[in-house]
Order: sequence, then structure tokens, then C-alpha cells
Amino acid sequence: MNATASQEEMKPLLKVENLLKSYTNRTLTGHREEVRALHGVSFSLLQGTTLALVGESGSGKSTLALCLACLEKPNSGDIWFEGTDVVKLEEEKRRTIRRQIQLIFQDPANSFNPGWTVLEILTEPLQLQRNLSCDEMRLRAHLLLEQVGLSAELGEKLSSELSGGQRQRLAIARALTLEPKLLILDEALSALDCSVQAQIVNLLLELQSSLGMAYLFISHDLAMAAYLADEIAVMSRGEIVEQGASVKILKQPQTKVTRELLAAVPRINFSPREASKA
Amino acid sequence: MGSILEVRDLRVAYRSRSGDTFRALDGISFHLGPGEILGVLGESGSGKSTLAASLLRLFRQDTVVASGAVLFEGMDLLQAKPNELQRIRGKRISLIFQEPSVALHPTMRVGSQVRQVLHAHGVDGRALNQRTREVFETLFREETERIARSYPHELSGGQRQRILIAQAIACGPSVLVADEPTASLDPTTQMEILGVFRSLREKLGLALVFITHNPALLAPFADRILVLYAGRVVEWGPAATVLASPKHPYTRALRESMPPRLEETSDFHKKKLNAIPGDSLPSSLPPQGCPFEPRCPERMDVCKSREPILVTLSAGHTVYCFRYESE
Repeated sequence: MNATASQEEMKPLLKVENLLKSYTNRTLTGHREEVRALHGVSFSLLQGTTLALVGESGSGKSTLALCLACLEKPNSGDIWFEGTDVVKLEEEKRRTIRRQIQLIFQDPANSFNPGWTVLEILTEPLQLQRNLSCDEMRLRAHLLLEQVGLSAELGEKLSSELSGGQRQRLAIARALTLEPKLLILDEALSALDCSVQAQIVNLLLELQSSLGMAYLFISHDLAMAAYLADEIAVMSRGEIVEQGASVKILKQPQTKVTRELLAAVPRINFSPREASKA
Repeated sequence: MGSILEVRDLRVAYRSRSGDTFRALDGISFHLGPGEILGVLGESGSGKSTLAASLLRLFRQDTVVASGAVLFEGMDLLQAKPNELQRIRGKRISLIFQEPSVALHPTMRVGSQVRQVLHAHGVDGRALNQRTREVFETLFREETERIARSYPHELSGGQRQRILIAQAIACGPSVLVADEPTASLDPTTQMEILGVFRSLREKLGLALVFITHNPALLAPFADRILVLYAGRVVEWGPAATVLASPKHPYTRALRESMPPRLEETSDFHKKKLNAIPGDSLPSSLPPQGCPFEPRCPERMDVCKSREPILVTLSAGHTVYCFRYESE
């Protein structure tokens, strides 16, 4: 709970108000069908803290992520980032904000050009956004590799030659190139092995305390969410049905959705007595 | 003790594009009793998917070595003739893959896809319809007719996974091999599918080989657990023992790397997890020493020089580690 003390005077980094997003599906008969992905979502996120969005697939988590990263335009509602309404901003100005919000997906293999080396992947955003010389860019890329715990020798490798954990580290390094203030992690741990998940969690915790980034951790894994986040928001059918401090959500769940998610967390619960019996 | 499936010293190696040989499975032995649930625990690169496929003698084209024996009811599947194999695959031993949306035909009604399996194994006419209905009734509590007439895209992920299970059990097999069958599912659906497997064992007395990377999934229902690391069995024993007091450093580290139980989270909140350093990227180097040595928190000098042997700790609990060699 590193946020509670100064919560009063701190302005939220991100404030979302009454966000609505719907898609139109056309069925085979030509009939139009309205699917409401987000239905009045509001929350705020303080600088340097983590909010976990938890829910079943189809609850609207990923649509929310896309709206926040300016990759989808909501039908209505506001997204305030450091006091600026991103939704109403002109494209030109929105781009400068976009840079500060980076997105990391579940399967990093799909988010890299397979023909590029690690260094090329890391220098591309720098080329687009900064006026740096080649040497400066390489130096920066090497620093980033070090920051996420990848050895410099990997720089010349293709992303397809990396393991799943290394690739997710690379995705984080690429997100860091532009020094974002908010990292959206959309199921970023789900495709990884348990032992590697723990490594990435540690890396995220480390980076948060050294760089002060805020995280929006989107997941269906309530156990991991509770561990990583200061606050949890539980989503169901496009709405946030429950929100509060992680510990509170775990210990006193108020809604049926949360209780069901809690019940579905697989856990190892063998007492020594059971073990000796077997 | 009668075992329905016995694997003896199974070795499988692939040749990579660069010409190196990579050992996916390096001397695997275990046995499975009738109606037993064996949980296979392993991370990517451990050889768990190769193991699943090898149990039905499904080898990739780049396989260069496939030796040992897979004895099903006493018959070695690795030596069986094609027509003998045909009678066993999908009928006596079935395999369920990870991704239900890829394993199903997109433009064929799911009912027909289950019928097809039965038809391929010689069920015809009235028996075909009746058996199909029975299988659907085993797996779905209601709306069996509507579901059978649906196409895969009209069903939810959990329902699609049930269709794959329906195909697998249609011919009444005695062994089911499931490779990460819940990996792409929601947590609540995942629990539901685990429940399906449990009830199948009760109803049909199926033996199950359940392959996963998540130890917590095995806790509620596996009888025994086999821990794979780099193509080797590093620990094998009763589920409760392996999960509650794991002996191999890898199994131990794996348990400790998971976030603490929810009830305890307030104390551990946002502290670092005990991650296992490094990763299990497969290496093509010939084995010298223990494969887990580079990542092992309890490594000793001897671990680098030669390979450990399997040590039996108690009845049915074996560990592949030098720490226990003197016992």
C-alpha cells in the first residue's frame, strides 16, 4: 500500500469516466446486432501504483486496454491522462500522449517482426520518436537490455530465437524505450511458465519502484492480480462490478462474480496430515 | 500391480534445421494403473508434449531417435504394426490437444465430428446414433440436441473442449492423454473442465495422463505426479507427497515461485517472488551433469560432473538428484 498516505493530495495519472464502447456485428442474414463491450466504466489510477482488472473473457478488459492505448475510440466517455482528455484531443496531440502509455500483450511472439534482431526491435521506436545518432541509439538499447535483465549478446539474435520469458522481457524493454508513465499489461503473464512468471513479476516490481511507472494489470488470474496490484477492479459484461484494495477484495468479496473468480483459483492446499496419509 | 500403460526408457530426439540433435525425452520410465490419474508437470521445453504424442506413437518428421517401449496392455506400441496401432489409437488410448478451436473442423457440426470418430472405428447404423447420443449425454447436462447440431464457432470455449473430450471417450478408451487441456480457458471454465475429467474417471474408470505446467491444477485430482525437466523424470511420486513436501530442488523451487495462497497475500503483498533464475531453453549440447544444475539453488560440485541417478525415497517416490543418493 504505497499510495494510501499521499492519496489525498496526489492527482490521478489516469482517470476514466463513464466509458462506453460498442461494436456492431452483422449476422449472416444481414441483421445488425449491437454488442456492448464497455458499459459505463469509471476508475482512476494514481502515479506509480498498480490497478488490476480482473474478469472472464468477454468481460471487456481488452477493449478497455485498447481504448486507453488510443487504439480504439470509445463511443462516449472521457479518458483523462495527466489532466488532458485524450478522447477529445486532436490526432496530432494525442500522439505525444500515446507515447507515454505502452501496451504489452499476452504473446510477445506475435508482437515482433520475426525478421528483425533484438537491437532493431529496440531502436525502431527511438528512430521514430527521438533525434539520436546511431551510437546513442545503440547505447540506449544496450542500457534497456540491461534494465530488463537480458544480456547484451542477445542484441544480434532474432526475436524468434528467444525463449518465451526472454521475449516478454524484450517486449517490456521496447515499451520502456519511450519512458512511459503507464504500462498496460494485457494478460502479459498468461502464456509463460510458472517459474518464468515469477521472474517477470519480480522485474515488473523492480521497474515500478525504480521508474515509478503505473501499471494496469489485466488478467484472469486473481491470485497474481492480488499479489501485484494495490487495487483490483472486477469486470463483468462491460462493467466494473466491484473495486477496492486488493486485500479487501480477497477477504470480503461483495459480489457473486468476485466470489466465483476466487473459487476458481487453483491452489495447492495439502496439509502435512493429508500428505502423510497418502 | 497391474498397469495398463507402461513406459520403459523412452528416448526421443529431433534433428534441428542446423543439423544438431536435440534430445526431447531422455530415458523416461513410468507406469499407469487402471483408473489412475497421472499428472505430468513440466515447463516449455521439458518434453511434455513430445511425451503426450509418443504415447500414441505420433512422432514428428524430424525425429531421429525413438527408442524404448510404450507398453499398452502388454503390447509395445513402438513395435506394433500399422493396423494394430490403428485399432488402439483413438479407440483404446485417446489424445486431447491444447487448443479446442484448432482441433475441430470449423464447418462441420460437432455432432458429426463425434460420429466420425465412432464411424472410423467401425460403429455403424443404429448403434452409431445411439452411442453419439450417449456420449453427448455424458458430457452435457442439457441441450444435448442443440449442441450436437451446432458448429464449433457457435459454442463457448468450455463447450468446445467438452466436444474434444466427447470425441476422445466415444469409443470407450481405457487411457486418456490430455496435453494442457485447460490452457486456453477462463479460470471458472478451467475448474469446470477439471470437474469433467474427475467425473469421467468415476463414471467410466478411465486412466488419465494430464499434462500441465501449473502444479496448482494437479492438486485437486491427480493420484501421482511425474515432474519432467529437460526430457528427464526428476521426481515421481504420490501427488500429495510431491506437492506438500517436494524433494527435487526443481519441484521445490517451482512451488516457491508461485504467489502465496490468497489467504496469506496481505503479508506477502508486492514482495518479490522466489523466481527460479534462467530459463529452460532447450540445449543441443550432450548431457554432462544434471540438466537443472545451471538454475539449481542447491547445486553442489558433483552436479556438473556426472548425471544423477533416480533414487527411491519411499514406496513409489523417486527423485533424480545427488542430494538423496546416499539414502
